[in-house]
Amino acid sequence: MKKLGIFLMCVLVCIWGYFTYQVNRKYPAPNKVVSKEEIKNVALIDGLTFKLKAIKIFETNDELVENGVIFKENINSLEYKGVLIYGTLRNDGKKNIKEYIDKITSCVFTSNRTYNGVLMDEFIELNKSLVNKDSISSNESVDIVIPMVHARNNMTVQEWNNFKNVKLSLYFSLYPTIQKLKLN
Amino acid sequence: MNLFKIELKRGFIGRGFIVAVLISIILAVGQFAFMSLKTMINYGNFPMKDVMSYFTIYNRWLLGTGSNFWPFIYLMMIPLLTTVPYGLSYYEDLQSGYINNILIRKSKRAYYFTKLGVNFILSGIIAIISPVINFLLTMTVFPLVKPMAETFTFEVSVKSNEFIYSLFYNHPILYLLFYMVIIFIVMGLLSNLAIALTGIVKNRFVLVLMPFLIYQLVTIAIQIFKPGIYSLSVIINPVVGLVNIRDFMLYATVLSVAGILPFIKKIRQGGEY
Repeated sequence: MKKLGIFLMCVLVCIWGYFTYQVNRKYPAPNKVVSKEEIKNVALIDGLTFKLKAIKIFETNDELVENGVIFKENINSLEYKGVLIYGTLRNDGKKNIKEYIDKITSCVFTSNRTYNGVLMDEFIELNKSLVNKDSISSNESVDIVIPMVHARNNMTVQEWNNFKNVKLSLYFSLYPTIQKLKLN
Repeated sequence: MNLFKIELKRGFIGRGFIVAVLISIILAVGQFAFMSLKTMINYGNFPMKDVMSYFTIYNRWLLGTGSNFWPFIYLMMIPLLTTVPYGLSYYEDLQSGYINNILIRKSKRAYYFTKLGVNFILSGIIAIISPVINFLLTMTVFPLVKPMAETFTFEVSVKSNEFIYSLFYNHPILYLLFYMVIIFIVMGLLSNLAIALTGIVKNRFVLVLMPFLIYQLVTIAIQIFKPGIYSLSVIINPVVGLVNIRDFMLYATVLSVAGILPFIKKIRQGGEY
């Protein structure tokens, strides 16, 4: 009985090891940053039904870190029709977004996290006149994607490195929306 | 030491321990089947197979998601589950008279501290069985990719404790080990209250419910009075990452003292068990 137990345990460990090895071989840790072009291609392959006319990748820059929200672009230069903002907002980031919204005629918001949904709701409330949707629809065109990150006063090297990979995460964050569109 | 070994064996082969292990396994497998596997089936044909940062083991395992049925059940049930294996042993010893047989050979002090020690270990093991099994199961379908903060798919955020935030995004395995230790200690000490309250609470069902009730009462009281400390359910929850040394030490000290105090009193007074 004891030997049978040991044998079964060994079998279980082997099965576990096999699957764990397989999954980690299949999805190794990301070690490259996907280019903007690559993201576009992937999006097309996936049958993206809304247009990503210009994916603008915002990167951090000390001068443009305002109140914990990182923006690369000068907000006055924005002339985009729709905006898909992913990520979450900090209270002190609302002011910046408000300025954004005033420059844009229509906006589309999404947040893939319920955890900070409250903040997003507050923000939508703040801009109710301009925001007519809280999720993206299949015939909506999105001109720009603005990734935002929570930033501390001083970003760590790790955070900075992660942020540089934002191009990659951009696609990942869009993935559920794409899947939703495909289903519709 | 002999008594400790006997009691430990008694705990491990007891019906309560087996029941608690089975329930823990059901929790672990349930979350794996209804959440991790489901996600894998829905998103398995991920277009970019060479990278997979969106779903990783760290946001798909039992304690990687906050607003979900399974972690809620785990965090709710765990004080009850940890009391089942050994929490009533002292009560049963008193009821059956088994304690008399032991105290002929061993001192009261050795007996009481063995009870507390064994209960601490068994409760701690039960508390971490679900997360550990679930993590191992989730490993078979999700890769061990380092969490990336900017994917916004991880619940540990800037709202979390700075140390936990840094640990999670830089050394996620250490983060898991850290929380397993926290859960082990907190649940072990909390469960010891069932042993400590044996003389005071006479009903076995109420006794087994006592750590659970205290756990819930502390949570409710902190929500109402907001004394500036986190509740036990927040401290042991890796998702929010809000554990801090001050609160942990406070709970550990209070629970240890509350667990030991009745026995010290009994040892000093002599006479009654």
